[in-house]
Amino acid sequence: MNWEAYKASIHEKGLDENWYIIGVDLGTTNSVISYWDNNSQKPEPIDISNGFGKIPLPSVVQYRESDDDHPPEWVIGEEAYRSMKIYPETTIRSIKRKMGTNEKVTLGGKDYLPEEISAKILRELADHCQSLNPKAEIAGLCLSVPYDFDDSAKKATMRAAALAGLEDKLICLIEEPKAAALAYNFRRLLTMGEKILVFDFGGGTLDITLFHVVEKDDERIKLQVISEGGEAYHGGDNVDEAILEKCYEFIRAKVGEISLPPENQAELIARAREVKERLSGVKNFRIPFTFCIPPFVEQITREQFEELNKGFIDKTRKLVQKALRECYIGPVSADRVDRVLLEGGSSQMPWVKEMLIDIFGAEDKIYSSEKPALDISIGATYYAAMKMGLLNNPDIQSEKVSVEFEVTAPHDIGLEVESGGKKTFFTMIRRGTSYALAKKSHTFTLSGSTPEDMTTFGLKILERINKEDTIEECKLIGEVSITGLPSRPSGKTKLKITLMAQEEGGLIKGSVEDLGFTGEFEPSGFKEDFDPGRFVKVEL
Amino acid sequence: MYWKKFKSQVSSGTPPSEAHFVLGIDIGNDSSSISFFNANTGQAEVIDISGGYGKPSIPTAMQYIPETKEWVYGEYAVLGEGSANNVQVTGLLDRLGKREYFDVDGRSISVVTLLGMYLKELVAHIYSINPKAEIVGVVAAIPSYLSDEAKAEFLQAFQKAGLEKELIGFVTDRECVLHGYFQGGELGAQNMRPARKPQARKPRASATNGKLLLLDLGARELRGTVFDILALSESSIQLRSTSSLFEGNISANVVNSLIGELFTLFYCDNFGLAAEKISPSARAQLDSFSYQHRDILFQKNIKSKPARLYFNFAYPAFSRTVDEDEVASLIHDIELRMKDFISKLLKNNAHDGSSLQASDIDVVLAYGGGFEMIWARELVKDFFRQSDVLFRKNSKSRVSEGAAVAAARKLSLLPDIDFQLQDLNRVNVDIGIMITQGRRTRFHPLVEQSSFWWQKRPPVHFILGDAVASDHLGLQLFRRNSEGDIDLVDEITLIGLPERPRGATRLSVDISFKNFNFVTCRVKDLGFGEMFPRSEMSAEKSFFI
Repeated sequence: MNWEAYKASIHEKGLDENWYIIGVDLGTTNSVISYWDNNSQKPEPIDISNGFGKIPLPSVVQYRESDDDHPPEWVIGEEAYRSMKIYPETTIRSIKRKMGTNEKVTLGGKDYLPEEISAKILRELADHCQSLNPKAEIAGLCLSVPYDFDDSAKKATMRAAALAGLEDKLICLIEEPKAAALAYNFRRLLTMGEKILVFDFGGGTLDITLFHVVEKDDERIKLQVISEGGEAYHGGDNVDEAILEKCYEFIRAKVGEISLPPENQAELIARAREVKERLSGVKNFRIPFTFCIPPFVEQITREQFEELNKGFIDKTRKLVQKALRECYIGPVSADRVDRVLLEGGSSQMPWVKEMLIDIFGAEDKIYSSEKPALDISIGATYYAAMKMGLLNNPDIQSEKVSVEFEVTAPHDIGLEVESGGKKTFFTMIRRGTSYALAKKSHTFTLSGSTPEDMTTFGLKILERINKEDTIEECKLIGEVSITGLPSRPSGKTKLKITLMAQEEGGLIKGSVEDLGFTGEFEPSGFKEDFDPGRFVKVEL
Repeated sequence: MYWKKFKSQVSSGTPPSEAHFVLGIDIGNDSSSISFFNANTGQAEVIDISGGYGKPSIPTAMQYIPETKEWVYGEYAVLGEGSANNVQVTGLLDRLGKREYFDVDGRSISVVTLLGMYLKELVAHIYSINPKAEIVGVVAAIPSYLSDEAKAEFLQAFQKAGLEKELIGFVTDRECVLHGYFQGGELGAQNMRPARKPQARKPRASATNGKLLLLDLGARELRGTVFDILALSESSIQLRSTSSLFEGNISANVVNSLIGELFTLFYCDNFGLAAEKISPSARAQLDSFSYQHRDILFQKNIKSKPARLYFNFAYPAFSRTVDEDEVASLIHDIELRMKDFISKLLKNNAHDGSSLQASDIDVVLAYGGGFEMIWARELVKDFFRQSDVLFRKNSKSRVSEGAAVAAARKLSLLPDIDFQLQDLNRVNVDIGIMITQGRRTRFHPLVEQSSFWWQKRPPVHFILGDAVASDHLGLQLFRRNSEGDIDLVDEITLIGLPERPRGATRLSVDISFKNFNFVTCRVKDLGFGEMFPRSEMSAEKSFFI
């Protein structure tokens, strides 16, 4: 049953206890799945470890070749992370950073796209529903993506869902800061006029999103995204890498230049992460280098750690300042932000809070979520439940209020056009345009040097991440081949090209319509919709 | 804010704000958790104090690092155990009431001060959630066996943490669990159930004959109590405990120590070492490894495939596989003990002496960190096949969530309930004698309130300050209730004692219970050394308390 059919059946038959509505945070370092608990009427994260240890599943995928005793197998999550040292060459981490690219990884002699690896994590998460209920089936899910994910990364995420067998269960994608704000709003009622900056700092990504509560009454609350910033490849993993480099320095200083075997490299990667986590609680940490000959121990203090990451910390500060400066409503000074909400595991590093206190000038503006690592999946589940029409508990103050978001396009979306032999980026949807309004049309004149150029052409849809990016730096969302246009002389065909962003997740769609040529050629009636790059089939 | 002021604000119709925090705190010997009552959702929520990874509790441990002159708490303290000259503080609850001190960097710091620091650290999490937070009420869960001295020191620790005005009071941990359970909806929730509005959960048996079993598998012991439900309505809950037991040989710590031994064996096997030859640094790493990996053996996954353990800290690293059978043999004895414990618990029925059957129990509420182990859950489910067996997803947070609910009730954020727990297994008064020292006369308990009636009590010896001038010596026994009122219970007279000077008569007093309400007291003359030999005179008297 697909999610829409299930939604329809809820109205007729009520909820089925074996059908689960879920929200998934597919993170760079850790992933979390939550389900809508009909009993408590709220999302509940599924504890992958059954109550022990950490709720999240490490986003680690490992392939083990067959040996005498075992057939080949895929290992996902905690065991894959813990055994990274034993299988260093076939353990894949942080695959989210490659989503939307064609960078393949080779495992067991076969190449895999990032979404194929991601699909395995998603499937593993979905299978954990069966630990709650052996008859569990997924009825519908919302998948979170960073705000800053480009169109190809979003589509790759949707492909991962399809590859995990969840294509017809996927209700929509939801931007991570939106999910975090949603989860937070249900616990703490936001007030009219409040500006809340969600600082979502994960393993791979920093999302900085400024929400403004623009409407609020007894029945609804509307949150408008007024700024979006951060960076897709700026997260806890970068900190790990800096520590890792320092570890190599320690080794060079103690035992000279050596080439470490893969298992020792994997050990160092794990140590680097441990240093980061431990230095959040203690001021210094001793790192044992047991695999070196002779073995030795080096100490690293929190000050050294912060000095080591000075460049990264400075950049983080600049990203916050940039997000405030480049608000869609004009620059917003730090003192006009009412609260800063820390989300994501990396936000627990002590320097993060110190830096934000410094920027916002007041300690009492910095709020940590009660569940910083879980909120995104909780928010995604709330969203899935909203989409299923389940959020209507009159006993809960926040649920009396319907929540609306005005989410805006994080990047400029446009077309590659050629004029006078020069290729340029033509903006169709400007960064900051609300998704609800992000439907823009423009009339272009088609020219060509051959008759085929007038009946067939390739349309490149691009995304400009930074305002200053050149056409070469723009990211390709998709290329659409338009065929079957009427044959006319060069410059005598006008085309109306429309691009629109879907309200859920901001995926790009569009259409091309022949307008003829005023006074000379009537419109031929040609009109074609396109959906670039969506659901390209990948065989597992 | 003084909790009574907040309560009067709520009563006068002022709704609580987002910054008002009503807390439930559970300080256990091994782990602690903190929850708050969310007035918006009407539910208690545990706070993730593990640094963002969803753990509902942190170890009750703190550590002083002389090198940096800093205190670290929880997991950081456990993982740093064994390092250099660090001062490790654990088992804070057990140390209460004993006026213990730790030597920290040449200074003597009391357990009360340390617990105050730990409480402050725990509560600091509230201010990171909301920097404008104002704590307006706290209920602290305590074990029912905590002595008066321990309670007094616990109270002092709250004062040291600056929470004396916010502390509404102490509530026993099992009472907290019951508060959470009867608040309904969320706390007892397990799997998917048909949608319904959260509502008070009632046992499936009728109000007057339902039986409820609380099982707490904690770090130190397994405790169980059977309750008869006497009355159950929206305004009143009356329960009477009819059977109660505890057993230190069944606990999460016992299992942990078995796992530690198993991991040590693997390590020694791999390197061909004797256990005593393991270096101190390898031992510290092995201990950390045991702490971080012990959970793997008790997850569901092990049923489908063996767990592989990666001894990454060792050089060279190695891995070992543990399968379901090995785990089963590891815990076999504990399982037998646990079944035996539950059987005894059902037999030991104080109310009418009759044995209960597993099928007589309507609802089993299982909590405590030990129930995160799958085998423990399955054993209880298997034992009580016809009962409603409820486990909390985070077994460790059940008590603090219930404490937050209890706090919300006291503050009128939830309808108050007349909550009465009669405990037929525990003595409900102190029984003792009056002692005069100098000009001061004070009550000295021989049997403490809340102790189990069936508990074995050693005889108490004391020396008479007065001379024995006649052959009749009367010993008065008193009882003291929860309010501190003292009254005379009875007098036992020893006849035929020889005359002796001051301080030369030693008496033995032995108190035993026939049942929860009927006591026998024996007094015996022991004389005093060779000069004043014992007279063999004794007396015995029985009475109702």
